[in-house]
Amino acid sequence: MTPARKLQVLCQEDFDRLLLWLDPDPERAGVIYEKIRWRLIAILASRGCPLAEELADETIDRVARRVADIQARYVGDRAIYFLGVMNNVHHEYLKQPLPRLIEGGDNSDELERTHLCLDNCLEKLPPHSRQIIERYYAETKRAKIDLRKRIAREFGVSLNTLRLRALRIRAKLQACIKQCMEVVEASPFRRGLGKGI
Amino acid sequence: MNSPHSHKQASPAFSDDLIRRFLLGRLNSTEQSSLEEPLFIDEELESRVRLAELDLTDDYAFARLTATDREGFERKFLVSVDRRQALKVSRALYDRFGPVSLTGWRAIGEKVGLVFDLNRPVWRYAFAALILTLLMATVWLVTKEPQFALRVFPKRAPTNARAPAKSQEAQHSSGSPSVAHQEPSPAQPVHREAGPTIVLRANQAAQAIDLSGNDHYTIHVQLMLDSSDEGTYQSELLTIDGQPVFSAEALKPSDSNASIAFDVPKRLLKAGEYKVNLSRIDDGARKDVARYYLRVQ
Repeated sequence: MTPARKLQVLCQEDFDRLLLWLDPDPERAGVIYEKIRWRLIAILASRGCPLAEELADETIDRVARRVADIQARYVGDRAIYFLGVMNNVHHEYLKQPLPRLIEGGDNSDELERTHLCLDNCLEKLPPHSRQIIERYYAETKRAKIDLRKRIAREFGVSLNTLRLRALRIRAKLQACIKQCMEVVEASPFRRGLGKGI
Repeated sequence: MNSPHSHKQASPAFSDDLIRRFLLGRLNSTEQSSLEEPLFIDEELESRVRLAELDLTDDYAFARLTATDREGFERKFLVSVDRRQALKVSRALYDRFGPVSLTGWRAIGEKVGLVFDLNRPVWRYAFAALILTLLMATVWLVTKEPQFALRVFPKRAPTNARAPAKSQEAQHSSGSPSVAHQEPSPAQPVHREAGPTIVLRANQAAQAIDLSGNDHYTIHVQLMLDSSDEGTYQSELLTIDGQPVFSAEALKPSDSNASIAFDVPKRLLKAGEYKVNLSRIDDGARKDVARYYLRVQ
């Protein structure tokens, strides 16, 4: 490994220091880290960057390597520091030639696992939440607004409240499915999806 | 290296539309920079953007995006593993709950309910217009086409005080000997549409009347009297073999031509021979006056 390459590789020590800088509590630091990463990706994607994920990780790596230098004198919201570094990383990226294409296409096996995990996670939802999800998604393109208005009336909430409730349940489903998929991926018997996920 | 921002801030300045355009990479540079920093420090805004991501992904999976938005979604939004994973979940939700999988009576009920949702103004106006149209059509029919109205509501109008005859149904005296009738007498309409008139002379050969192609509701029967006697008359229309068809009571002779007139509903008359018995009522006693014959063709 060349010295230049060595510099680019994030060592565990840097990463631990980064987490400690974000929050002394490792669990909370992990949550903040994930939030920052998500925000970086959202902004880079919004800027039209097809390598948003890679650039976000590069940003985090750079910050991690600098923490040792800045932690003593930095005051304020630490997340903002990432935004400044990200701007530099993105600027450098824009100077480069054509970007790589993102991977695409669905693996049918993965799709099947997604369906299995969805069923599994739906079962875990409280009946009321499941009912909301089921009705919220049972719609045609044309009838979307009308149906949602009707469902909102039935549940005695406003249209916006219904949307927020459904999307929050959807977010929980998303997290549950992600966790489920990781477990299934790690399992030597992928098809034998247990209830205890 | 200082930031004055706190972790939690409200995000009312950013509309749902602006957030969606942010996700699709459609903000201009001013809008973009105005949203980027708040997204890093505003928990509420972050939460809204996260939910908007899922909403957008669902809309894409359910084919609810315009072609431009679809292109923006594929090129600028679908750039991370998490987002692609979210799309898989959206597709799985579509397969599970979407319109294709919703079958049976529930699906039909949902669709019918949506089509005829009376809470939608368009349907309220449509039903109001329909009811108004029906009302106006009814009024027009009753005023312009009374025979049609009479066909629907047969002769239940009250007896006209000026009318020379009273229907048997209106009188229906229990002591009347001529109770055998198949159909009550027609009401005397205030506005009488002139039907065909048949003039019959007493004890003469049957007078023919052709009712084919006749659109009128009633036939005006005029019985000529040999002598113009005052009094009250009663006429009874029977088939030639004596089956009662129609009767009219309290008939008064006309002043001008010594005749008794009454109307017979056309629908009671079929092709064949008929006779009319005319009686005069004197002090409650009935006295046969004359007999008339007619033939319906």
